[in-house]
Amino acid sequence: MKRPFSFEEAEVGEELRALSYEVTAGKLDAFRAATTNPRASMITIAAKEYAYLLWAVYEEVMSINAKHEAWYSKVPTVGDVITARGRIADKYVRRGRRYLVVETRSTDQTGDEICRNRVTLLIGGVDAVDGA
Amino acid sequence: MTTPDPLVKTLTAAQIAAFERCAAEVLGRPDDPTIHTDEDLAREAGIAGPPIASGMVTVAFLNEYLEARFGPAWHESGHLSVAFVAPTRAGETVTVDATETGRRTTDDGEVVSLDVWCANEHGQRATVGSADVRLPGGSS
Repeated sequence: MKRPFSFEEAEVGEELRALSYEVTAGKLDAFRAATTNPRASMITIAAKEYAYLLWAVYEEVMSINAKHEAWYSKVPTVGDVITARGRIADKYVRRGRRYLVVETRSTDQTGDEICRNRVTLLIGGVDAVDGA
Repeated sequence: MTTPDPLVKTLTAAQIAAFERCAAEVLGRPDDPTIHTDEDLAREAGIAGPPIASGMVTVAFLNEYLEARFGPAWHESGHLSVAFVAPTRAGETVTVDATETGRRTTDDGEVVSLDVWCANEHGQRATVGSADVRLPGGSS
């Protein structure tokens, strides 16, 4: 059961639930079509796991990507099973805006690292979209 | 390895929706609405005008550019750090480009550093940041 999200009560260091999925030819084709890149890898789908890991635990609230940092290690291939793990790495308030930082690490079925990500979400910060 | 021309992409609402769908497919929930695909949700969130793309769309574009520039080394040792400073909307033409800012030699090869960005057709940079990649054997 999901918990209501509260920025004030979010705990830095909280480990989020792990997520696993298989890289299929269909998912890869869909990603390549969406990015109009016939040679694209799945790597940025893995990068979006931050949202799924966070909102699998908490009831989703409005948030906007403010920053994204990624470290890539290996290209996943069709048939690989990716497991992503994440944690709330930081939270802070700057100029009245509330930011939540989520770190994730994705590995394949052999334990090899695919990528790590550090994502900064602007919580409820719609003004950051049109006012940026 | 050669320096490629800037990568130019025209973004459509259908593409933005397709990206959301295939990303959500990971969870088996490809039809979940998001602010990127649902007008009512977007309006509720205060976002007017054409749909905005997830920041991960421009990250995907940067990955395409950097892979073209550095080959497999990008996905094996690349580091990307970007800020989303303005929205990228359906109907915009996005240009992805980079400039080299430095090189250093390490025990594992040469590390190349760059400034990277995605700009719209008006030259406004919506996604900006830096990238580093290690080139095995120091080739470039």
